[in-house]
Amino acid sequence: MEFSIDLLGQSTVQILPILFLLLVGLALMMLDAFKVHGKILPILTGLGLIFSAVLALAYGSPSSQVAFFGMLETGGIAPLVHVFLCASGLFTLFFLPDYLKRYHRPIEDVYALLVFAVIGMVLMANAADLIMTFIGLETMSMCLYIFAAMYKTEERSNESGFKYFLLGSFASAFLLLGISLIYGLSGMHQLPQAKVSMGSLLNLDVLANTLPNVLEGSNVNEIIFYTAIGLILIGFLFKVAAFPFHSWTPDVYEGTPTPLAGFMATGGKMAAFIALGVIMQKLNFFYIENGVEFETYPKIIQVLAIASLLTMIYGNIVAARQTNIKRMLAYSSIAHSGYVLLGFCAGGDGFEASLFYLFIYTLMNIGAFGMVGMAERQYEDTHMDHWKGLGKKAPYFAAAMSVFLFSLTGIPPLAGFMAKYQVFITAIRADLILLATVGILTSVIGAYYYIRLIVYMFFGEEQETAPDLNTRFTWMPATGIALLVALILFFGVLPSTILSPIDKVVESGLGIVMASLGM
Amino acid sequence: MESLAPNAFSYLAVSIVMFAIGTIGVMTRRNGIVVFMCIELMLNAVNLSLVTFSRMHNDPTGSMLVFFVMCVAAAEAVVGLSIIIALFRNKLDIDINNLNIFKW
Repeated sequence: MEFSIDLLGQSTVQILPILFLLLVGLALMMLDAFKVHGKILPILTGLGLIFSAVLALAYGSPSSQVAFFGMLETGGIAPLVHVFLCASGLFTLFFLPDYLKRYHRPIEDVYALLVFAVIGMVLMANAADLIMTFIGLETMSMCLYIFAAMYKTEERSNESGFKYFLLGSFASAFLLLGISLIYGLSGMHQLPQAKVSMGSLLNLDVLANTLPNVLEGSNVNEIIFYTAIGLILIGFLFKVAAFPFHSWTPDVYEGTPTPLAGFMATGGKMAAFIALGVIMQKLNFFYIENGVEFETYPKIIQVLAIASLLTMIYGNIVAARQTNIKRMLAYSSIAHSGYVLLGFCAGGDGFEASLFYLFIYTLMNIGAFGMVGMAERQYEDTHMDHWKGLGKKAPYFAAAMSVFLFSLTGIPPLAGFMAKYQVFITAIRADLILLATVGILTSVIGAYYYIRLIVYMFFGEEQETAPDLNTRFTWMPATGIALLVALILFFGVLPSTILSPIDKVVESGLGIVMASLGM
Repeated sequence: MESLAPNAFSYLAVSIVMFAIGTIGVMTRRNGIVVFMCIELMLNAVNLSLVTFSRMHNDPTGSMLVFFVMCVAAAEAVVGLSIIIALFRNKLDIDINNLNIFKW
């Protein structure tokens, strides 16, 4: 790092991956303004995302380090998170151009917005300061609102965008109030030295020191603290579509262009979950004494556990009743949030399991949403009956879709099984027997609605009017599908290739990501 | 609490009341634009509390966050109002009770 420019008070090199993404986004906007259209924009976007991920791996240090005046974490877990989020954007790109072209609405701005959404996600997930969490969340959400409302002449699109926008900003207002209360509490702690040296009072490391002192022996402060955390949880549970705050999910996903709905359901969710997990880790929600893990704030974990329980039950039961595939996938994504939350309730190991789950879920869900987009007869028409007999008409299509669906169900040789296994095993180790049991039982309900679609495809009567899916297998979606299927099989057989790097960075904060990835 | 303490709590009370008005407005109003205004009111209520805390603690972090919140609110207004305009062009109506295309 000899060439570090001390422009921002800290090494600029550390934020290079994000600066690079920002440049790519701005360049894409400019190219669009100068009428450069066609396949070149998605390819540039993809290359930008890949290069940014490589930069993050190359410049991120294995131990924790902060950049940008203590605002952004660039070491430890951060490079891996950056790679995951770029991957979710990248896989979406494989399905997006063909989908937009099919409806004769190639909106080229979408690529720039995709990059900006990824930037927001990375900022939010890697934030070391609650200010950055808020800004990242809003950057991401703003792009996602536009995705939902993208087809401005289509009433469905308007409606889903409007709903998402109103409910989303309503939830962020609560999050912001929570941050404000935390700030009010944090400042009450008088440090011997001048406060100037501490930097931001909302920095997570600073909060980890000030909050316990403020809470000690003060009932009022404790009530304020729990209110604040409750409000912050509302904001996050909304973004991840957990039970009491899930109602927007099916409507928004249904009205959003299908590949982008997949991006929302994976990247957006992953970023919000990681941000929440990092806050829980940094504020020491769990502590270890004599090798046994304890909860610092048991009430908060109980609330999360109840949310997880209800999310799993509700998402799976309602998904089983759906006849529209996109709504089914939306409810199933609610259910998957419940499984990730289950990991969060299980402490430190649970966070690793959740991270693994989120990554695998990204692979299979982007694939599933992308293929649903390919099979649409006309704009946003995704009724399940249209899938009958696809197995004969388009065998490759049906086979690949089956891999995604089996993986979402959690059938052994596929990655989805390993992800679920990791989450449930950590939950059982943490004595969350009831939650784990409910999780396993609701997965069985999940098997019903996922496998029903496979039965439709292979044993249903052939439809006369079904679109010719074989012509839709152009090189872009075909490459994407092949890559995703290969990754799902690979991580299903060798989960340790991704689990051990996660393990290392989360566990010790000193894990050597690059070495374990063979770089 | 420093010298401003007695005043500070009245500011905080105003902020909480404003936030509550905003929340109730979002839940009861049916006109999309009024709902959006109520959300802005909630954000501004938080801004007031942040500034108050900032002054109480004699620390700049809160005031700093206020600037970001104002930027975010402005960006949100751009996105939100354009979505509302697109919706109005198609439906000639922004009553949120009439948003009922999607059914489970």
